[in-house]
Amino acid sequence: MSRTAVITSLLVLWLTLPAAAQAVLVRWAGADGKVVEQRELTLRDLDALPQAAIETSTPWTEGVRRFTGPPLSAIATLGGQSPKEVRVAALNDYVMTLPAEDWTQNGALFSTRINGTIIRVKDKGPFWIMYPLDRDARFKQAMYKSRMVWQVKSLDFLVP
Amino acid sequence: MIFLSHNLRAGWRAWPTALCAVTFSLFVATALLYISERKEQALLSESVTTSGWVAYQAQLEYVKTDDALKRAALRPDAEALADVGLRLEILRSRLPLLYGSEDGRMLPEIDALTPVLQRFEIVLDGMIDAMPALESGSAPKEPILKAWSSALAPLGRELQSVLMASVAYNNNLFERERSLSEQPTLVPLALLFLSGSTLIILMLTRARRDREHLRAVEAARRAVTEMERNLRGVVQAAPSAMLVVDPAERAVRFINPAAAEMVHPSLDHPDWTRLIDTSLEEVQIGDDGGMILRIAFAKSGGDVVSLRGSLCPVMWEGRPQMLMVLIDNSRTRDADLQLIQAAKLATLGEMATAIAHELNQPLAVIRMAVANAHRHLDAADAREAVAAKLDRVTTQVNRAKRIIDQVRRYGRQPSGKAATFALRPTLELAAGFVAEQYRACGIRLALQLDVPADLAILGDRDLLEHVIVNLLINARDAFEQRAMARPRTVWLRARLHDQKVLVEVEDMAGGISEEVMAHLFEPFSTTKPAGAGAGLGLSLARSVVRDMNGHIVAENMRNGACITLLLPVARTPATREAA
Repeated sequence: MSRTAVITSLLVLWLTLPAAAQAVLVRWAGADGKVVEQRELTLRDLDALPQAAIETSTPWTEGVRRFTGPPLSAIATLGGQSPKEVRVAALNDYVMTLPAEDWTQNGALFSTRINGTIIRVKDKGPFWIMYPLDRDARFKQAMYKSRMVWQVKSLDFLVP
Repeated sequence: MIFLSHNLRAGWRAWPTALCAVTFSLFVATALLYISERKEQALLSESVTTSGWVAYQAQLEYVKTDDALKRAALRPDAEALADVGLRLEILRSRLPLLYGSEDGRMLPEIDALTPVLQRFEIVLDGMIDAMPALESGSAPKEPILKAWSSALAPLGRELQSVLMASVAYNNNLFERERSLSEQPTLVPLALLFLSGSTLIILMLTRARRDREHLRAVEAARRAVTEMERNLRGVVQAAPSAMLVVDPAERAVRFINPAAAEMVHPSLDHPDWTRLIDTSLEEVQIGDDGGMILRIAFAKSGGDVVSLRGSLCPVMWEGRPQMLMVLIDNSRTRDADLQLIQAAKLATLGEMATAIAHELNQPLAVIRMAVANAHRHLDAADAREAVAAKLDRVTTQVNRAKRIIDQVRRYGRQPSGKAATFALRPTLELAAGFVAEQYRACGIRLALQLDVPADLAILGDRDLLEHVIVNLLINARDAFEQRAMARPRTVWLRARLHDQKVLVEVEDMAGGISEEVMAHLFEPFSTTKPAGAGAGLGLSLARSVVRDMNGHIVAENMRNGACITLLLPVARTPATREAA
């Protein structure tokens, strides 16, 4: 029993440790700060959402890579809300605010995999918000580059 | 001097264009300079804000990693170890950005640092890979963690120095930015001002010059209009006839009032065509090279006017045409005619004795015949004798009538009208007039008239008769002056030559001397003693002949002088006139 427990706990630990490292905290809150909804989405939850892909090169990677994951719009509308903007926080406490048009019109992707493999923290994982740079040259501007947040820790949606 | 100023003027004309080009290029340069300065400032600001950020971020992550290692070394529980793992990965992810991103590449001396950073990447990768083993392993963790901490210490120092260098670099940039913002954009503004003011001055001077040009042009045009008006006034007021003739179409384009009065007010009147035709035929080249006219023009009313004038080419209504200026010197001719009349009367006076003598002869015969007739009345065969005597009376009466007719005709005032008349009878009459005088002087008058009896010429018959009589009298007088034994003969010839008639009066009186020949046809030139003749005969002859559109020449022949008249033949047949 103790052996099973240890194995089970180890298994759980093994399973959840990476999974725990790969979870994003998503909150929907109003302008007054009142939290409407809060979810913690694991990689499995994210994989369950409808997926999209962007094939592009970036200033931080070599050559063209294929970024896959749910589009940001899928996450934004999870709670049945239509948020106006989102505050993205990264593991090194970098924070950036993205306007709604980035996920409604610009096709921002909440990528969970690069070329099919999960992204390690040292490779700017676990999650990286990506824009289709190669398709639209305007995403090469500094303004958009600062929105391509990597090592995403949390998403705070502002609901009207 | 003129060449130089022309060159200067050409150069001066190039100046405005050159100045314009310079001004425009200055303007463009100023604008470009301004734009580039602004861009440089923007770039500076951008580089100031972005460079150093990656260095700062890396330094921060190093500090956090070092802190996590130290804490884990103190108490290596699962949470602390997980934190160490996370921090190591984050630090590892930041290192490539130092040399790989645009912002990182702007760091000073980053090229030298790149291999160092890459080495540390490998070190960090090793640590990250060793994490799971460390976490699950049972070996003591503190020494490993401490070892890692000291292994990363040089990285911390490198990152610190990078940060310091970028801070210094940023200060530099701040300085530059400050100096840039302080520096008044003097040069561009000055250039702009210069170019702008040059342009304005240029435009103003140009405008002024153009205004002056315009004023000059306007003044010139006004002067021309004024002059044209004056000219027109002069032409309209001139007493001589001025007309513009189109020689190609033989039509009159313009007449002034004097011309209208002279010929006809309407331009379409056929008189004009006749005048033009005559003028163009009779035009001569004068002494000064100009074209002069001396014509007799018969107006449709029958008057003959003597016209004198000139012809010159003129530009009228855009086409080259002829300007004719004519003076009517008929009054002079009328004066001439009166002179002729006076001369004739004078001659008549001279010839009075001769005429009286002539008339006396038939009268004496008549008296004798009548006396004889009376005597024969008493005789038996009175009828035949008386008839014979009466016949004699009739003959003498006719003779007397002829003499009186000649005198009457001679004394007639010349009419001045032109008509066509037969030449031969006129010459015969002239010869008849002087016949008695020639007989009295013992001069033979030979007539050689080789012209048809009805050959007509246009002119005044009485005047021509007078001219011939004058010539014949001159010839007689020439014989008087040179008493010579040679047989005295004067020829009166007439013959046709082309379309003209030659009438010659030739004598054997020795000829005309050279100095007299030079002034022969001039008025008041005479070889006769004072009181015998005024010297007008030949000049009058010339003007009469000219009025008939003919010529008169005098030349010395074998033994004497020959005066030749060249007269045009009239195209219409002679008009019969009662004597």
